[in-house]
Amino acid sequence: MITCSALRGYQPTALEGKAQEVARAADRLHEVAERYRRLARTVAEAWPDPTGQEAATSLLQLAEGVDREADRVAKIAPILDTAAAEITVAQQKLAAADQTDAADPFLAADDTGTVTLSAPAMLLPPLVQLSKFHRATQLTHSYRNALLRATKADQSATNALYELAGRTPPYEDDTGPVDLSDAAIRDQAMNSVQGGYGDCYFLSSLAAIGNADPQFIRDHMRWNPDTGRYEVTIYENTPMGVIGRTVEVDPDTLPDATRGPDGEVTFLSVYEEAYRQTVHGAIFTRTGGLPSDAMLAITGHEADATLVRPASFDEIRETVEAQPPGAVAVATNPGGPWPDPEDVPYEQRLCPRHAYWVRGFDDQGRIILVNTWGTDGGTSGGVDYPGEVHLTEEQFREQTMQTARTVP
Amino acid sequence: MEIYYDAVMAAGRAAGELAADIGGPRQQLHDVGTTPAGSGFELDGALSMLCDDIDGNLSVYQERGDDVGTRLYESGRAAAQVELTNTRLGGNLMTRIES
Repeated sequence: MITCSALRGYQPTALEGKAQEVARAADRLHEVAERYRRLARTVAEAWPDPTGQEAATSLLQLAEGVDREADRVAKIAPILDTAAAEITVAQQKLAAADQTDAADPFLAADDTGTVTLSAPAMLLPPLVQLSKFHRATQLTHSYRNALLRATKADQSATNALYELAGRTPPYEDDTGPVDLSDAAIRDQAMNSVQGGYGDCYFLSSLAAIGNADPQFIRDHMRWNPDTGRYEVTIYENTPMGVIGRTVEVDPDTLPDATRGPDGEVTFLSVYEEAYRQTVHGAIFTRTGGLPSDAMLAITGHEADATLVRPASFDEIRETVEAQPPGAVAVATNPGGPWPDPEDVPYEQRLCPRHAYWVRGFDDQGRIILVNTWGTDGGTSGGVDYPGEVHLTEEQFREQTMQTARTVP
Repeated sequence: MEIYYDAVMAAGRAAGELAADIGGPRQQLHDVGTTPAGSGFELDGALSMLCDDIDGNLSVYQERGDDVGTRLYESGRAAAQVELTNTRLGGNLMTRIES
């Protein structure tokens, strides 16, 4: 992926200048072709014998060849112009992120766009530290959004130029309008915001799987450039066993549901719509369900799931720290015995009857649970809940019920 | 012969000149493809590669244009030679009759 310094140093105007030069070359080639045609007419009229006619035909063939080259050259200009425009927008987004980063002394961004807390932030009170952590996550998303946009513009233009030259494009994976690179999938898993469906169990399982194995998402959510739709494989549990079904999803006509933080379509948006088109998904995205069912629908095999007591930290570590890593989603308690959420400090608070996914463990050995509501969290029943929670094993066991583990 | 002698000679010259005209756009594309946009992105390399590819194709058209030009020009010379020979034969014939 393009780095921040490379994007800052890029000059889109140079690209626009190239586009203009290319357009002028195409015009000149068309002029040469037209002169070949005029000459062919002159020869054909003034030299009526077979030798003259053959010469005129040769000239016409030359004119057609030069015209074809002129058309090929003319196609380059708009490709370069589009890339220049996209890179300009990416630079504006990068500049906005730079401004936010510079305004907060507790945040530091590196050249890849990853924002971390600076050392003095460790001295802040836990609640403030948590909000800074969320800010860092959001800012990382802003940086990566800008870098991915520039990278995608660069790669799609590069691919187009290779195709024009009749060569195999260097970036063969056309993933459609949703960026499905490893970094993008993990970024979308962290930052997507659940819409109005009651499918936290599905989204948390999906985000956990995407974070653990981005290739699984690319293998099961394929872009068809001919139809302009994604083909998503969803598994259904039927009396005849588990059957994989391909569901087509048009990214341009998705309902207003799960999206990225800036309203963009993510892999979770597409997958959610595919799942809603299955019998299981149509019912349970309205009523709510369990992560174990969602993992079956996504992977086609049963998850290793508990029902009323969560797995231990050792068991969860065994899955998320394995090579290749697995995915773990967690359902919280449906009701009593339940500590009143308002009695739990904000940064440790889990929403009842909700699902989270496990991002890993922090340096104090606490489990990191990610909320499907996005990095800002949200409000339920008049109580605020954070986007990410770090819990000790005791706190975790007190507030959660089912854990579902799978290696996709 | 006189009917198309001038046209054939002129067409030969013009076809050769046209072939040379492709050199302009060729140079323009070559410059675009080899002048970096200053990014270090993949796009610079791809553009350079494509311009080289087009440059190669234009070379072929330029050579073909030269071939056609040369052939037309040689045909014109041949036509002129025939005309000259006829004139000389006619002249010799007139001399014999007069003598």
